[in-house]
Amino acid sequence: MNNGVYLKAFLATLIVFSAGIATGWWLDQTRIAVAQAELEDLKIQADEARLSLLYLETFKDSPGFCANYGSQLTSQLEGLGALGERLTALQAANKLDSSFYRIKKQYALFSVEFWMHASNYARECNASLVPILYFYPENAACPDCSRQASELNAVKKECPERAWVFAVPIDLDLNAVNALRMQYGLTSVPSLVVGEKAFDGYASREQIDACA
Amino acid sequence: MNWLDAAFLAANFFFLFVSFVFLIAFLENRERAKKNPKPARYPRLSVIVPAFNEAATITASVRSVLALDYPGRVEVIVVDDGSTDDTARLAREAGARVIRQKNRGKAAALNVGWRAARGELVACVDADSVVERGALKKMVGYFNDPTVGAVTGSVKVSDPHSLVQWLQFVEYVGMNYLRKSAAFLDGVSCTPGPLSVYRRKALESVHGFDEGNLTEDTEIALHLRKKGWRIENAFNAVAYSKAPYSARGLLRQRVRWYHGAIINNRKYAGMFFNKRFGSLGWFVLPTNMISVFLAFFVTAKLAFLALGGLTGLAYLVFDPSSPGAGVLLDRLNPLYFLTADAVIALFYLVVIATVFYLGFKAGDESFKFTRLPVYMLYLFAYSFLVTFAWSVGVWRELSGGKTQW
Repeated sequence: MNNGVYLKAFLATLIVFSAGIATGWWLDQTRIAVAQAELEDLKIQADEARLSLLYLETFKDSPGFCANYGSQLTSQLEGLGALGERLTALQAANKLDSSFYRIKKQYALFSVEFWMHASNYARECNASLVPILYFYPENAACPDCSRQASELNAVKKECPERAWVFAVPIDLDLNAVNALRMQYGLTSVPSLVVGEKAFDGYASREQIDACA
Repeated sequence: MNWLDAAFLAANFFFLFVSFVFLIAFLENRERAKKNPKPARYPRLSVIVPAFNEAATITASVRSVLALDYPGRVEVIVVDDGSTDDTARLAREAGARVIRQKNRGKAAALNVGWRAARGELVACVDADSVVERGALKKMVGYFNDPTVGAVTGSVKVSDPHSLVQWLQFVEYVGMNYLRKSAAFLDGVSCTPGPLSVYRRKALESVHGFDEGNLTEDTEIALHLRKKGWRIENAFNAVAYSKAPYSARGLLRQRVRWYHGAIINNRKYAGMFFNKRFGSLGWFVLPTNMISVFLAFFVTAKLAFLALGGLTGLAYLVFDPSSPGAGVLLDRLNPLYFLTADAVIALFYLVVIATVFYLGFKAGDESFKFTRLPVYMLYLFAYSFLVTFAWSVGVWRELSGGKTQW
């Protein structure tokens, strides 16, 4: 038996395998960097939305403002949704470094913030827009969540201009999220806030009734 | 990272290691890959051709054997295994000694043949194989070493036409390379039916071929090794063999091969991790079996990934506005699909491609880039077919089912 061959083969394997792991690690870091850069962009948009809201309060009856603000907010909400999908895909692709925790946290805060902007806009401008806050656990079992998600997808598809879904994980240890759940008396998952109505548990698309 | 990803990485580590062992064993010895020992003498040699209804090819096959370039005395024995056609008459007319028996299978025919043979060396050749003219001369030098009980050659697919035959063409080139590598490690575990030469004394010591065994060529190789005989390989002694034309035929052949491999691995389980058998016991036999079970897992994972991709594609085609389609569009960007395990799998593919490239070069086959689709198909799709055949083999073994020769 030629032990030299096995030793060399083992070393070669180690080198190639380590190179693969290193490349994978580098890709994981790149993904995290890309996600962080995208969040930076979102932060500017959130500032903009906040400023617009201030504007709304300062010049209450300025003509044409609601239309402008509405179109600005709509494009921001679209961006928020698309970013959410990208972040989910990026997180799923990260096999070695799973430190997406902070990114997820930040994204959840933005979701809550934009949900508030959307709610304010709907109320102040009397707009036909239904913000839907959707609570789900990121790391715990949730037997009804996939059913609920597909129901929400169906609602979104039926009236994409009207229904806006803000998915927020409840287990990221965020005070804002805990306070919101307390405010609406929500204790289970999935749970929803549709406009002013709260559902503590699964709700079908008929119950959600966001498109009428 | 979940345990499934971790297991996938571990499987890739294992396959990388196995590939590197064969690669390095060949590269370290490449100078003597085609240098066979010069024969001290040319012992009398008997060629056994078992034949069952081979009227169409037997004349050509006997003539090709008689035309072999071998300086010693040669006799050709065709064992007609109960043919219902003209095989016996045609073989006799072509110049072979013919022995007829009732149909009892290939192993039985080989046994009748070598027992009647007068040669000190016995070459077994399939009736539908064509042996390259100088093959025997390249093989007999290894018998200078009295511990060598058998010498194998390389097997190539003759005249491939269908895609399935082309895929086997690629596979056989790789198998020849691995067999030579294994010979450098003293770990040859099969003496292929298309062309192998045995020392008559070695055949006597194992009482010939196991009649009724699904893969008598693997069985006898392991039996010879168990009795202490060595098996060598003359890499540039080539036999051209007919490969199954259709996927169905290939599947049938492979279920027989793999079910036979399981049976023989069980029969010779005592050789596993037995230091008496060196590389064969410590490396070749165990890694063969481990590879099979890991291949199930890796193939399942690849199938799962492919299925995910196809569902995404279906979304994109039939329902472009769905969220699934958006994610797929994003996934055209490598950042979304190049996961760490995919990178490792790619590295592994590069190593495998290198093994095949070197196999082609060493085996004097040109690595034609016009055949790139075949190579790609071999790398990405062939394992599904092989794994399926292995599954059937394992299932038959576990359920006590029978496989026909």
